[in-house]
Amino acid sequence: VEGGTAQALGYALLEEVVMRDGRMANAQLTNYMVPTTLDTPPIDVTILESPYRHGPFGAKGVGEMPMSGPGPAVANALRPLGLDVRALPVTPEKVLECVSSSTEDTRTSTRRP
Amino acid sequence: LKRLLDVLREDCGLAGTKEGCGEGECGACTVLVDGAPVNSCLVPFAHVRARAVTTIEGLAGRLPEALVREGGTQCGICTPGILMAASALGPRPTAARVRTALAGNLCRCTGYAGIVRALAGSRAAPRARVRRLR
Repeated sequence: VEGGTAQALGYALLEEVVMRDGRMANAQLTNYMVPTTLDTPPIDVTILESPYRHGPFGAKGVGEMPMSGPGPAVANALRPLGLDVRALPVTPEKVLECVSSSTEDTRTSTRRP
Repeated sequence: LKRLLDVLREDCGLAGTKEGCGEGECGACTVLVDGAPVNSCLVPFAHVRARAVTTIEGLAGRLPEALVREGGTQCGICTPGILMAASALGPRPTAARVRTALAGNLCRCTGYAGIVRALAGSRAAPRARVRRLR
């Protein structure tokens, strides 16, 4: 669960696949960045057990679940700032792009701030 | 020009040191040269003439048990490099020091949480709690 959460944070923030002529153009760890110790926050895990009727001894899968939350969580954390990033990973470049387009919106918008 | 990594694995038969990326990004091939951690994929063998090289095979101490206990190792390819980088730290490092010292060692499985618990003492980071809903 801890590892899945760290992978999902990489998916949310760092890991951009660039395709060129049908190949991955950034297939080195230099340009396809995965989280390091310093990119990964302390992770506090609480497992809530609720037995699954159809699983053996009530078991159900847990390994894939940590991938689901962090992407939306990171993107939604920017929404109160008026930033609506629509593609993962939320890289600094995309945030900057969003900032410049949203300031243009405000200038042309008739809505009250 | 032979890499230290290839001399260790192929000529010395010390296969505990792993090759990850081969370009100095992942830290899987970390060994100690005169006590300092280096990426052995980036070190030409000629550079370690008359120097002391320590690999995972020569690691003493109880760090491996701590990693196993805290869930700090899963697939295992980063583990020898993690242990060598950690062995260059002094006794009882803080969690922050562990994180800084291991910033050049990538791990895909553990999220580093178990690694930090193992190396900085298990009280430095939370462990999973289990709560029964009904």
